[in-house]
Amino acid sequence: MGNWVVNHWFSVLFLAVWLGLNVFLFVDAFLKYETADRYYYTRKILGSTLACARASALCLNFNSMLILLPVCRSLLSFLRGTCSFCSRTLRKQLDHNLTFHKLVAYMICLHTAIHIIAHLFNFDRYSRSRQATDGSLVSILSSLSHDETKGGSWLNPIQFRNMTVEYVTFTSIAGLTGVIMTIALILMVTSATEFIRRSYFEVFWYTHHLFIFYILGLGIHGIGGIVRGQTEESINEGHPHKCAEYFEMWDDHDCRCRRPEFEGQPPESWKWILAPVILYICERILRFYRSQQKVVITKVVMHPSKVLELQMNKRGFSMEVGQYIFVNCPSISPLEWHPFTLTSAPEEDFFSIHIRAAGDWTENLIRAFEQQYSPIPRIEVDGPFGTANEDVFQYEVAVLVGAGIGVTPFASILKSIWYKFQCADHNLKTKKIYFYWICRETGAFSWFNDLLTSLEQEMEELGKVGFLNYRLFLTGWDSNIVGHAALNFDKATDILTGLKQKTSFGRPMWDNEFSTIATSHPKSVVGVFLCGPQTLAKSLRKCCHRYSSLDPRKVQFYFNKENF
Amino acid sequence: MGQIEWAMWANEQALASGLILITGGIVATAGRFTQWYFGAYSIVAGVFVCLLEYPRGKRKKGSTMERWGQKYMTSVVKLFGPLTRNYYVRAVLHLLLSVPAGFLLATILGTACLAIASGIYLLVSVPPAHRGKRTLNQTQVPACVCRVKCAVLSVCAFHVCKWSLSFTIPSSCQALIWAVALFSRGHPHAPWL
Repeated sequence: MGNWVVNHWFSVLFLAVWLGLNVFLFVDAFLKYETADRYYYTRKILGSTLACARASALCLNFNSMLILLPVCRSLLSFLRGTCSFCSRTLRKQLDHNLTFHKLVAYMICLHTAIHIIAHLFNFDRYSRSRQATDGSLVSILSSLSHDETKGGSWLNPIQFRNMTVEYVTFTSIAGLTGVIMTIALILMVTSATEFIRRSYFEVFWYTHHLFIFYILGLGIHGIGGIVRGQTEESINEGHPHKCAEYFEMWDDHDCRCRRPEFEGQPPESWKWILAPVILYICERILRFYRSQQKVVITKVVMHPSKVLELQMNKRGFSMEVGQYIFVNCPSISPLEWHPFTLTSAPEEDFFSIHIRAAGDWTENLIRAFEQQYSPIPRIEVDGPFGTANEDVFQYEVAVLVGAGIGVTPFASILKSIWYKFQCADHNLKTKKIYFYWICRETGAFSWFNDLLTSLEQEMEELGKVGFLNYRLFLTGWDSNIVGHAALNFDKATDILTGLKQKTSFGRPMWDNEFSTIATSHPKSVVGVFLCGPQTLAKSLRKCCHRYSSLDPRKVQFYFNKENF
Repeated sequence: MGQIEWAMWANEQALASGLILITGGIVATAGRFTQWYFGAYSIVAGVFVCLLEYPRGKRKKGSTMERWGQKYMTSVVKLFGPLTRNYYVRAVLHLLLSVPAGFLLATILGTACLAIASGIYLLVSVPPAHRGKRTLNQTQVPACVCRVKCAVLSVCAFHVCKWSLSFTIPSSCQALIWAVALFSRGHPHAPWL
């Protein structure tokens, strides 16, 4: 429990502040509309649901302002870069941008539900008060004139007795934009569920662009001024507390109270969303501009197991370890951008990605590059964008865990280490690296094998064999492979990979590994980096909590997960 | 894009629509809005749609994440055999279910969402050979006829609703099943009724 608090205090604080602001805004707006004199007559017709609707509207404005910010990737990368003097904890929060985006989206859905339900009651009450013929206060208020020449000082948006609420909904700007926004929101949410996103990314990506309708709708939602309050002059002439009970005599000449006059509120949503929309537009323009820069493909390598390596060059491109880029291939799909981790080191004069066939787009891309006689397809690149792996050299001891294709960011890191050693860069904070690669089948090893072989030689030459401690785990083993391994136990190199380090079979026992690391480095800060499935993240996170000591001077494990 | 199973999204959309129908129905019934009995219908329709759509279908390629506890509903849904397995029947069913809820403002959102889900299911069930092509194959029903059938079924649904309001529910159910069977006759995925 203590370890969880140490690792997550900033997230908890941030979320508490956000929730607190939501609650504060809701309660503040609710009380304002429940008690203000301006809305005395409006409350007579509508009751508390007016305040409910307005309070949820304010929260919707607030959350709509926040929702665009976590997806401005360039802004976040910029903040990461400028915050290099900031503590690790602060920068880690920027990794959770997508989680925050989803939380804000859920809050928007909740407030949308409250807002719609409150307005349904409002419309129903307006409708009933329009139908009322008993000369009560509500019926008189409802009959106030809609005539524009007399100032349009109406209260009830339902003009005529036979007007249905459905008609008013679909002919008023607020109603129509509300329906459009809600449908766009629902479509965005249903196509963004984990299952759809992971299995059919294009459905999610294209449908999510309906947010444009949501933002536009939000901007013009309040133009009609349907929520009416009494004008200042009208209150001065006859305060509702005094005049409300004399409503039958409003039309008499000798009564001091006259008919109250109402005006609508000007729309205020646009004030909330203007800045984030501008930021997001700048972000998209920047992404487009960067993508238009020419990308030269210097080398194409087809590895076994349908892995394609592309080595490219782009003017002005500079990267850090573990960053990722978005790639677009106009000849395959003009609008789709897919993320790939960079597998080259910053010290190299090109940048490379390894693409595995995992769906429509990747398979088409690999097929296009396999064609020997057609020209190489044009590629557009946007990025690089940073993730947690930039921090790997800030930790004294780093534990890197890559599952399957998740090893790609670590390819970049290991290559970078190799170059740093070659340049004898002694400013490296990292003193030791533990690298675990967990993979199902041997075929995918091959392109990484060469890298590990050269690293092995490099370490031997420099006499620093202990710096990199790596272990390979084969989870899709069968008795044949194990039989071979047992027979060749005495050989110096592994029969599957040719590396000096023998391949282990099955999954690593994390408790053993973590306790070994904790005892070997009792006073260090250890960074644990994972690129892999959620279940593995859970067990690693648990181990980090378990083996971090409460004393901040002793061993501390910090967990970082790369997510897309 | 060719390998996308749109029916998976339609399933999510229909499940969400069911929940929205239930919510709208509860609001309308609790608030005793005008014509609130449409709200009561909406609750029942919403519950039915949720139960039908809760079991997630198996993907053609790759592993499918089952929803929590879906195995209990799957055994019930499988009992109806081709009626629930077939996407065309689902599309038509959802369209019919969504129509009565459209008469009340509180539930009209559910109608729109369920109609969208129905539209996606319909797109999935139209045979791929006929998307964009006008050739008629003897064993397959052309897309334009499917559209006509849907239009006729909507009209039929409206009349069924009017009948059901006078509480002759059993006869309206029979009429509904009769209509579905009649108009699907000749379709390769026709329910065997």
